[in-house]
Amino acid sequence: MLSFVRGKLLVSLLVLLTVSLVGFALLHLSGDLAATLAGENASAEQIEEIRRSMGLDRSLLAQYASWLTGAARGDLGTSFFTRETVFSLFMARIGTTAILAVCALVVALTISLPLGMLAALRPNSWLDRLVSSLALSGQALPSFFLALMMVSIFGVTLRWLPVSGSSTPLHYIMPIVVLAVGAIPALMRLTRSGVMEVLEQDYIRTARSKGIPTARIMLNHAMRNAILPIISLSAVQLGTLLGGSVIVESVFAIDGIGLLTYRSIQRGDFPVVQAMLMFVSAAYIVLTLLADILNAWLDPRLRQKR
Amino acid sequence: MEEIQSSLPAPRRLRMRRALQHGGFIFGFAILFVTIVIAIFAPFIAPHDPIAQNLGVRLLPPLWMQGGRPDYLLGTDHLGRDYLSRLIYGSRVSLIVGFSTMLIAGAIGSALGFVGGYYGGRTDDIVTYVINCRLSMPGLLVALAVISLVGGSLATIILVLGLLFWDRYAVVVRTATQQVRNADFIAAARVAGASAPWIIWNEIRPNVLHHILVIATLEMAMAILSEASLSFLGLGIRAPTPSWGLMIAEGRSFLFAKPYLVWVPGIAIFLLVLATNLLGDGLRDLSQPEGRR
Repeated sequence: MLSFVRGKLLVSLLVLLTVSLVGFALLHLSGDLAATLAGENASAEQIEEIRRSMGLDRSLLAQYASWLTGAARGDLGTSFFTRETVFSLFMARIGTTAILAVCALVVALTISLPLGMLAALRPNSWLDRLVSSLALSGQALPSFFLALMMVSIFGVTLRWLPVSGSSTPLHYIMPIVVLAVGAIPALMRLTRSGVMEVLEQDYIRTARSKGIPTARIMLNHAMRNAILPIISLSAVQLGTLLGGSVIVESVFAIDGIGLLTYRSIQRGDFPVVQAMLMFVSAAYIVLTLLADILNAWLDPRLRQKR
Repeated sequence: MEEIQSSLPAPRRLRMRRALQHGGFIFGFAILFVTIVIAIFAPFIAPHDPIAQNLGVRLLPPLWMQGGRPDYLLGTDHLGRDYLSRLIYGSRVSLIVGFSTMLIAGAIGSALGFVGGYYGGRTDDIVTYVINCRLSMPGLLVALAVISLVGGSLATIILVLGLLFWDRYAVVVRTATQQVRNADFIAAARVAGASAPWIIWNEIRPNVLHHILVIATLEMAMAILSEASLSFLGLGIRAPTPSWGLMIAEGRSFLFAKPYLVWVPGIAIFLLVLATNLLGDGLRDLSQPEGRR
């Protein structure tokens, strides 16, 4: 188990390093940051001045090296615009985004697990068809459209919920629902197919023939085995939710790291954008690593695979 | 090649009948087909010029609401442009982005999947590592950042999305290739002296093509959604070109008084993505003899 964890950890670290290099290179090679910062009316000398003062005149590798050594010490640079450190900008907002993402995942799981299980019990029943239709519709709804629809219905017409900001818990309801709808289809489909597969196994038939009630079979036997891929997918979804917060936070004007990133992208605030890319990648890598370790702990067979 | 996998040799007519009985497949196919026809013949169908402004008829409601006019079936936007014509031309952007992204991403992902799945060993380790790195990068976020620097246009959107969203092709093709790699007919081809690229193209590709087709439709839906999101955030298609995501962004300021400016393009995106996903699910069901999974 220990060597399994060590091997996984090493690969994860390597992936993180590669991703940071690729992200850094992409942002630098896609355009002239100094020109973006200087604005449209800047003269060539002004652009050169900005390039020098920001250290953008050095080679790409030198810039990456200094960024990396800084990042290793927890120093992610300073924002080009507010002059605050990226770290403090993030720390002030990360809580808001984390609450959104975790609540959305919890909501998504409480809806998709029971519905997926019920659908698997009665394949091709009306309930199964309803679940499939819900999954398909959820997949086809752009999150920003769903957000605006909800604002139009619950915020404007019915006046039940506040439409923007993050001052009260009520402000979080619509963003959480929008994020959850994005995560539900994949989780529901996976629960359905996973449980269906387990239900065809011999030991389930044995349990059934012994007269064990369906509810107990589902919880003790079927879910125990179907839960492994769901854990992995939940980890992936949590990473996706952090990325998806860019759209949802900007629609609802919630001051989390998603909105911070969107504004930074718009004004070319490179250190903040790079930090966000790294943060979401790192979150994804750590979460999938934890899911892998948890799965290996739950199912010893997985430890044998490389 | 599905014929080989099913227990009974399924003649084309049998497959046609199964397709016609699959409601989702028919629905998806019909909507996608109609959208393609509308997009191709947009200049003949659209009643007005989609970018011609007519400030005398600003913010007209659709025909069925009070004050609607028959010459502007879906009303007009804040610049007096005919909403129906913008919707019709907007389908072009969605479909072009969807198809082109599908081709670029499909080529990259399938190539990686074939190579990793066929050669195995150290080569496969590298392919798996590359896929892992890609999966660890937040796709839409990278697209947003890169497009904001390069500048939004149809070409950059297609290129960036195509270069980013190849991961599912790679994962699926790699697994599918591993499954057929050890078949007897592959061994026979190898003994006969066929080269690896020849075997991949002539023996393996036909056998995993139905997997690629399924992923391609699902990924096309993803690309259409991504373009809409990018354009909505103001980092995609530039005004005045009509794109459904951009139309929602422009209509957003009027959400309180004129919600249909958001609803109309939103429903269009929803229907097109739903249809494409239904088509993909239908293809998957039809390629599996035992039916729905």
